[in-house]
Amino acid sequence: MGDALDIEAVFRRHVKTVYRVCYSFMGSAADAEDATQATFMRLIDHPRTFESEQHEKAWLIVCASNVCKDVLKSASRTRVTAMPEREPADPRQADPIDATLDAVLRLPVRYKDVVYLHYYEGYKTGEIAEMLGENPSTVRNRLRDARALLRKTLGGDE
Amino acid sequence: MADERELLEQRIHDAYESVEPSAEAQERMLANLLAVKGRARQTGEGQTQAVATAEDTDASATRQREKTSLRRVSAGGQTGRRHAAKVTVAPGRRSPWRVVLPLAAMLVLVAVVVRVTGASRNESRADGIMAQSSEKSSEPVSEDTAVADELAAETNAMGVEPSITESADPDAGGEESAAVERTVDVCPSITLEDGTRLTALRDGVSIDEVDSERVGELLGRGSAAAFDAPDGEAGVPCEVFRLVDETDAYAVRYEGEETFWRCTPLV
Repeated sequence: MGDALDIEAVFRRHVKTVYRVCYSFMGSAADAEDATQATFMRLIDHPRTFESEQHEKAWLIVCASNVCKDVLKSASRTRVTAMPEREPADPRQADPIDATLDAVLRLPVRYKDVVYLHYYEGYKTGEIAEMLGENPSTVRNRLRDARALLRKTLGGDE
Repeated sequence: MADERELLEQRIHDAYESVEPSAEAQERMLANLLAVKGRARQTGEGQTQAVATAEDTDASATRQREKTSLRRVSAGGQTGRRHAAKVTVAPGRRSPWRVVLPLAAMLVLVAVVVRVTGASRNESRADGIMAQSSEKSSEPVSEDTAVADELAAETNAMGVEPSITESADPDAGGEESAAVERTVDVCPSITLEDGTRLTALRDGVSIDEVDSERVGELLGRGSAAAFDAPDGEAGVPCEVFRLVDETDAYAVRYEGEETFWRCTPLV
């Protein structure tokens, strides 16, 4: 990785990833865009050198997750509730992808980063625990609970 | 069960995969970022020193927050089409107050401890000085004085005459004792036979030695003692001489010594 921060190159490499994370937290395109920009702004404000593109990506994922949590926390303090952009889909009738996405978006905030990191990025429990500074058992429990919620929402066994 | 689980995983993955910013949104975000970056660069170049300092303060607070929440992470390789990564640091989201407040409290605590420690040292030093001076002036024989007396007795037993200094200041020790071995230090108050009073002190503390070539005729004889010596106490015999090159000062020589010390009339 180069020493000088080429923000355009970094942005083009990871904008989709960062946006996905932000969207999963914020639930709307506008808020996800704002959070995505805020994430890259943190990198502009505090440029750093990464060991690899994977390292860069992982840093941005965690950064985006933290940005979104901050925004949501701030919003909850000021009692501002964002209107959901998407109407919750009926899991039995809607497109399975839409239904799953809706279910993911409706997960409590504390589950969102672990679900994204595990189910989309493929990180293992221990790796996620290290990334988020959590106990591995905490991550395992959150994944288990999130899975149960998703199954329930999507009409599974649990 | 395993199939169901895999199916769920696949559906979640596909759901995430379906989320993507439009090309237009991507360009819009990038343009905003580049604009902000450019503005920040311009602002950084054009601002006054004072403003820059204020920004540094804000930035350092943020940096502090980021630094303290950096987390070390390591991860494995690839899992199917999902990518794992080796991450070393990630920014935290802790409030800056969580860092700044304890830090400030710690600094205040350190400052208080340093001040209290310094004050107690000064107090103990002052106490020591007070104790030393009170021991010197008080009549009752302190333990230190008793020890010094024993040492003096031992010295006498060995056939060595204790000097005036030693007998006058038993509490003095180490470097101080080397400095007060001179009679002039102990007996700076000179009284001539005609009642003229002089002092060998200058500025209250320092004493000047006078070159014998500057010493002129004898002015008179008398005795020297400490300023706080009790009345009637026998002093050290001494001689006072005029100086050949000075009219306002004189030279005193204590009995048994060869050194001349500068002295001046006591006003």
